[in-house]
Amino acid sequence: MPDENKRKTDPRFFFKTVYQKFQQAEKSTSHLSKCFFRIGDSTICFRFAGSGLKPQMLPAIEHMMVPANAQADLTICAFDTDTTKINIPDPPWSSTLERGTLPGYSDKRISTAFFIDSCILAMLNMDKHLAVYWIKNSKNLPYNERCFPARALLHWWFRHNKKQIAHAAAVGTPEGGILLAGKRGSGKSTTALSCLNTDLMYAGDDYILLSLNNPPRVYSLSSSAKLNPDSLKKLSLSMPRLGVREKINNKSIVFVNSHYPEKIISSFPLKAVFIPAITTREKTKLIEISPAKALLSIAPSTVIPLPGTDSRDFDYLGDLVSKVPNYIIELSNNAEEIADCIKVFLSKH
Amino acid sequence: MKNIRINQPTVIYKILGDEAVLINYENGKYYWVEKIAASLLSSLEQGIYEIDSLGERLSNRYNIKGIDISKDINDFIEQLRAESLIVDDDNIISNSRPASESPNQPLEKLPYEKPILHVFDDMQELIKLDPVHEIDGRGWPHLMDK
Repeated sequence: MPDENKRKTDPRFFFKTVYQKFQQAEKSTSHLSKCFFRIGDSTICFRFAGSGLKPQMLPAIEHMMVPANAQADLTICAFDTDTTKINIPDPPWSSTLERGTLPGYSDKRISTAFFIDSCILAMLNMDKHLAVYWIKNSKNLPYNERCFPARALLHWWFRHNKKQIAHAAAVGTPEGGILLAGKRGSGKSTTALSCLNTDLMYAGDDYILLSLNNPPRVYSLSSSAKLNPDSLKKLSLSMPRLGVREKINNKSIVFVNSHYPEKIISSFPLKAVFIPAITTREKTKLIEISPAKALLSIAPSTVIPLPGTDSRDFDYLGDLVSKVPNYIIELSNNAEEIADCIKVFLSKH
Repeated sequence: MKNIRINQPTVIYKILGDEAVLINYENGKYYWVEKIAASLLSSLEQGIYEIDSLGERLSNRYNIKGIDISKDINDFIEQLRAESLIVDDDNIISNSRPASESPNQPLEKLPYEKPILHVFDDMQELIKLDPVHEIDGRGWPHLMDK
């Protein structure tokens, strides 16, 4: 049966098999729904089968929801085995799993990732503008997938559409805003959330979407923010509506859209990249830095965790930081004063 | 002749002006270099793979004032090799001179500073969280027994 085996190891055949299982899952459960979202310039439809995934994935992205009669550019079929009782076949491939991706199971049109800790399969078929997202047990959906659902699929989709996902926060107004990039604990989230008390708007904290238009643009991807207990305590004093969804690994997850929906902005032109640095200064200060120094802050935490990244993602981010000015923002301990500094900068640029 | 090249695709890099950033997917480390170190990467990018030619090119580009920079260059190359950012490859054919370099227009020499590789390892935990897994005959990939 060599032809049969060859067929089974074809990524397109396996994609079709998993999609058929999704269709079976749709028939097996009364928990069905379709939700449409406008993300970047794409309309993305999530088709949920089963009750396990939707309540966990929706809070981070519901601020981008659009009416259900929209025409989808990409449809993501999401299901789990625990609430639909539909399993998917074992993988037919013999390969090595490298940082979530299956090199022998991805090509220019099909992308495949498997997350071993949580048993999630994500496959995108660019020819059909269709993706499948399956988890064996929805109770095991990791917090990072709740904060930014289907990240691998969206990363691949937007890369095909000449946009780039980046690990950064973003605040601004419809006229323009800034990216806050840096590793965990650098003050990125605290700075972004401090702006909720001002007339600056919030596009995101964890991951955002970028385009290299002229000027470059920022798009919201998720309204989740992760805060350590000290930061949350400080921010809660001035922002009493800020509520915690849950706590994981000593970090509190906040869905900004649930508490400050009027402060969310879907997109703005990018004016600059700011790299926060926590200091004991009384006054916030901006220090201009080279594009390479900005790339050093934004690229590693973007390309290392996302599956299937390569030099194209690095080049994209390199081109972005070359198009806008880049600064270190030395943060004072006064959240209001930090937001003022950002506002003053934006008023001049 | 000893030839070296950047260890792509395991290593990704971007040269911006006289600085460069590199990421090694294998160990999760990332790196920043500037000046002569970035020039060396730029020469590799332009197809100068022979270590001797690289040294010669950098000597012509920087004001070395009689300093023998070969030890600095060799030490730096050894560091790059130790971090698996470059690999030896004697099958690769080195350009004698990149197209962008004109022999008739000598560039103004730049001040020489010893090349330094700045290493950052704070993202390594993410690589360790999701390392390479061999997929065996047990169906879906399994975490290796600890």
